Parts: sequence; structure tokens; C-alpha cells
Amino acid sequence: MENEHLNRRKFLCNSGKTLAGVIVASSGAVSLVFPATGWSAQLTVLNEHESETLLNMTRQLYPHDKIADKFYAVVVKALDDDASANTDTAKQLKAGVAELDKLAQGNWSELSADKRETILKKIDSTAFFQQVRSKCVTGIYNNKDLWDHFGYEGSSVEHGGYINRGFDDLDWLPNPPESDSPKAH
Amino acid sequence: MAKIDFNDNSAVVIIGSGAGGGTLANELCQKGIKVILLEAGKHHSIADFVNDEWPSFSQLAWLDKRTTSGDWRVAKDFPNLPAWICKTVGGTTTHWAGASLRIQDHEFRAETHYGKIDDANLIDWPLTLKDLEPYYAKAEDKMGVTRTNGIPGLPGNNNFKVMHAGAKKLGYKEVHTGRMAINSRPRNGRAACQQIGFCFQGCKSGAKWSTLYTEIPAAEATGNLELRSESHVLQVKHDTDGKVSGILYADKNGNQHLQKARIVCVAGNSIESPRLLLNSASSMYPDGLANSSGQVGRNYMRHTTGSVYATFEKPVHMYRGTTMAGIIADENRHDTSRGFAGGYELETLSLGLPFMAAFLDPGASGKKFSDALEDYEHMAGMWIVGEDMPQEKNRVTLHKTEKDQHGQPVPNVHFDDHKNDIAMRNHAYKQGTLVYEAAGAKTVWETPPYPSTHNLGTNRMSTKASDGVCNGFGQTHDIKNLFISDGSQFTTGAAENPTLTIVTLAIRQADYIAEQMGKKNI
Repeated sequence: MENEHLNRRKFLCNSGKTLAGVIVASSGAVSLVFPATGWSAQLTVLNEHESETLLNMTRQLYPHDKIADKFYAVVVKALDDDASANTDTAKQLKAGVAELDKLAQGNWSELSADKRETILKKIDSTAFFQQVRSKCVTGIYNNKDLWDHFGYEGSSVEHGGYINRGFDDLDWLPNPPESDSPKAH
Repeated sequence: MAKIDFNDNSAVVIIGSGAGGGTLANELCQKGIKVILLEAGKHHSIADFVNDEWPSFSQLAWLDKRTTSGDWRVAKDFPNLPAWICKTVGGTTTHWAGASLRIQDHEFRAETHYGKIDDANLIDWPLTLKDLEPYYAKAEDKMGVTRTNGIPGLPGNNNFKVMHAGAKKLGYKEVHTGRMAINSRPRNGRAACQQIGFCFQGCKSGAKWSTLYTEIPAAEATGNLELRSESHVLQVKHDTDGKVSGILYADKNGNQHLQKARIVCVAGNSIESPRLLLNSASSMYPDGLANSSGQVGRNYMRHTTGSVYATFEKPVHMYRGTTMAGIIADENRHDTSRGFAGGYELETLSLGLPFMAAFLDPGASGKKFSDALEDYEHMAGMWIVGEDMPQEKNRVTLHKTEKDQHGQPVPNVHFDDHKNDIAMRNHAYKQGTLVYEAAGAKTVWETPPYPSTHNLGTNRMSTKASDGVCNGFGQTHDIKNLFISDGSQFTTGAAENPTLTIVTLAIRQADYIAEQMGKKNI
């Protein structure tokens, strides 16, 4: 288990060839730093352990192997912003992380993926779980920087729509007859 | 634009500027009748619309507090969002997809045709298809519905190609790009569709019919209309004779005004319209206005919806082009051998990535869900629109404690599926799945109903005053100068998207109101 923990931290710190990201804690202040991307964020409420747990939790909830940690860290930063704006939210997040660890009888992040999943299932109706989950839904899938990854092209009106840009370019099925699907005028 | 004094009691006051209210306003103004059109939302223009789902939702959707109850999944996943409808000038015609289908003859006679169904509060409409045919024709011409009036169909997009290929392999016959109030070529000063997508977010080309830029400016041009946006009606008032005499509304600053009226037409959609009648209770009408039957707020219908999404080996890009790009109509018949009464339509639908994440399986997480979204580019989708059963217990009521920003009780929307609804939905899920499997699907998702876009039935028409709220012209049985002008007057839901019928009823209602005014009956 300790090895998995080290690996996880190593992955965070050394993904691929370059230093991908680190959680920096210095005299109580926590920062999420991703040097290769130029993105970093200072957290105001979550401590190092809490931010790391939430980072692991967000990826566990919506795993996309090819999406970098940075994008999950954006969700953690958004949760920290909410916590900063509302003390009840802050309490809920901190208590939620503590509950995960309690159910893990140790550090939840250090468990195997299967065991982490089992524990998440136990708390999936709690307000804490829903708070993190719903933040992921907007934080990941409404993040325009990730739309290209998913093959979503976003706003089209400024490009003249798709009338001349492939609204009907699917070529791996037969075209419907014109009676069912007339030509564009 | 006209300017009508608060104390002027000669005008028709219409509450709500969507398909019903916006159309009725124009029809009356064209006849020389003065109209005050009140809209709770802001007056946006096409230029304001954005191709971005969440910001558009914030801009257009009705987000005032509502609560939910019942066994529908919306109550669990979206407890304060029973419906996805709009608070803006043009109402939900800014958001609608454009499908414009006539209700079928047998569907107007649901009780006669389907027979007794346990726990369903079925009656026949107090009118027939024959009564409506001339008005349907006018509505289709007004809205520029494709495949009517010599208007060609729209070209099918990628999402339609997948549906069409699967449907044909399965043996379905009536599969085409639909009857849509979206210009396939320029018409009536509006452009042809540019296949932008984002039909739900307000049409940026104006190709899709919306009262915002058709009926309302046409009404204004007559000089007979005064449009008051950001004007939220709180109560309909009546005189000592029991006739309605005006309305009380709050302007954008929260200041309240009493506007006198000769006639009041309620068109706030099927949640706000009954809520307003209930909130207007008085010593003379302790159960709310026009509610001697006790049916105000009851028989809430929302269509037996649901969606089927599937992923494929190769790209689809379903979001390119019109959101509702085509239809399978073969299942819209009444055929109880399928295990349920009534029928349904299958219509293509797409959501952008942000809303797909929110609606594909609300509340879901984990690898299976993430993998589906990872395949977003390879996804096709369709929506089920089927007739649901009216049930007395499915209803809009006033919340006992929760109040809105104006101090009015918020509406609670209660909905339990009828067993006929469930049987129909399961059949449609199965057929939708077979369609996509025939086209080569890798995985198929049965997506639960979204917050309701087709809200119907809560002030229904009936022949007998004891069975419903209004007669076949939308005139309330109890108060002759109070009218229902939106989808809440639907007696049953039928299988078709409701907007065309709402517009049709509004055109017909305008003729009736003008005639009754001329005879000094109202």
C-alpha cells in the first residue's frame, strides 16, 4: 500500500518525461502546481491531504486515462473556491475526506482502486459525494479546454454552422433517399 | 407599440408570450383588438443567444424555485427543476426543437378509442381533428412547417443517417426528416437553416419559428400591442359579479401594479398557469379561479419520454446540425398488442458534451459512464415522445411553506408514472435499441426522462364543466372572460410534440374571442 501511495505521488510529480504536477505545502498554504502547463492554483481552505484525496476522488469518479491531472486539479480548485465562499461547504468537504479515511481505516488514497471504489459506493448518497460528483460534471465536461479531447466542437455559429462543414459527412452508412432526406437548398 | 393605461379596462391581457400567448396576441392584434402581453422574463434578441449550453440555460430557462414529488426520477435527480422551459420573451418557443405534428383523429377521442384504463382520468377532447384541420393548416403556414405548403423537408444530418439506416433495416416505413418549423429555404423574411446545432439554445439564424421574432413583432407593427417584459403576474383579480377584472403583477423592480382588463388569457405553461389560478383564490373562489371542478392543477402530463443513446465504431458528430433531425413515426398508432394504449414517436436528439454529462444517466459516475462520454464523438441519440395517461394525482399544487421572490407560494409538481407509461417507455427503449443495434451500435444507453419540456393538461378542456377547467375554445367553464391559452388546456397528451397544436388552438381561440367580443358576450 505504501508503494502505491509513493507511485501515486510519483505519477503526480513525474508523469511522462516532465514534471507534471505537485501539491506544494508550505507553512500551511497549499498550492497545486503544474509547471509544464503553466497552470497553478493557490488553495485557501483545503490542506495538502484533503486536496490530494479530492484529486484522487475526482479521477476515480470520472476516469479518463488520457486526461492530465491538471484538469482534475481544476475541479479541486473549484471545490476549494466553494469552500472559501461558504463555511458549511468547507466543513462538508473536510468531514467527507475524514469519512473516507475512517472507512479506509487509514488513508483512502492508499487503498487499491477496487477498495477505494467500494468505499465510494458506501457514501454515494451523501451530500459530500454529490457535491464532489456534480462539481466534476461541470468541471470536466464543461471545461472548454477538454472539448477537443472528447471530439465536441462547441459553438458553431461563428463558423457558419455546419451547412458546409460536415453536418452530413457520415460515410459509413448508406445515405437516405431524397424523399426521406432532401438535399440542402 | 401601444401604451395602455393601468385603468384602461378595454384590452385583452395575455399572460405569457410563448407559443400560445405570443400567437394569440398577434392574432387578436391583427383583428384590431388591443392587447397587453405580459412576460415574466427578459426581452432578449437573437444576438443575445449563445451556442453554449450552461450559459444559455442561465439566460433562457425558468429557474424560479419549484419543488417536486412522486416516483419520477426527475424528483430525485433534479428536485427543483421539474421542467426545462423558458422565462424569456418568446417563452419556450426560443428553446423548442421545432417538431410540428398534428394530433391524430383517434387521439382526440382517447376515452372512446382506448376504453376504460384503470387509474387514468381519460376523457375525450371537446373537439375533433375535423374542427381543428383549418386551423392546423393556418398554423403550418404561419410557422413554415416543412413537408406542408410545398415546403421541402430539411436535409438529414449525421444523427439522422444513423437513425434512418437502423430503422430501415428494422423494417420501419415512415422515417424522414420530419415536419419541422425550421426553414429549409428562406421564407417570410427568415433565413434558411445553417445546420448550426444548438436549436435548444435559441436559433441564431432565425430559421426556427419562435414568437420572439415572428408573432410578437408582427403584433407590435399593428400598433395594438403593448408588450411588458419582466412583468411577473401574481394574481388574476375579479369583480363582485365573479368576472375577471384585471391582474396584479410585479415589474422588474418588484413594484406591484394592478392592470385592468376586459378579458384575461392565461398562457404561462402548465406549471405557472394553474399556479396562478390557485394563487388567485379569493372569498368568492376559495379553491382558486375557474376551479369548481377541482381539476385546476390536476392531470399533469409530460409525455412518456426517455432517450436512447448509442456509441459506434466510427464517428457520428451527432451535435452537428438540427437537434431534432428526423423521426420514426411507425409506432404512433394505437395498438394494444404492444402492451399499452396510445403510441409514441422516435425523434433524433443530441446534447452537447456538457449536457450529455448532466443528463445521460443523472447522478452516475465511474468507468462505464466515463467510457460512454469518451466515445461522445461516436454517439447517436434519439428521444421518445409518447402519450402518457392523465392521472388526477399528478398535479401542480401550491407549496405550503416555500415562497418565491414575490412572496407567492412556489409550485410543487407531483408525478407518478402510470403503468401504461412504463410499458410504453420500455417498448420504446427496446425499439430504439434495436434501431441502433441494426446500425451497428457498440453500446446502448437507455436514458431516463429529462426535466419536462412538454408540460400539459393542468387546466384541461372538457365538454362537461365537472370534468375540466375550460371548454373547447379554452374559455373557462366558470368565468366567461377568463381563457386558458397554452398546453395546459390539452385534454390528453397524444403522441405528438405539442407546440403546433398550442399554436392552432390559439389561432382558433382568437377567432372565438373576437366573435364573442363582437356579440358583447364578453
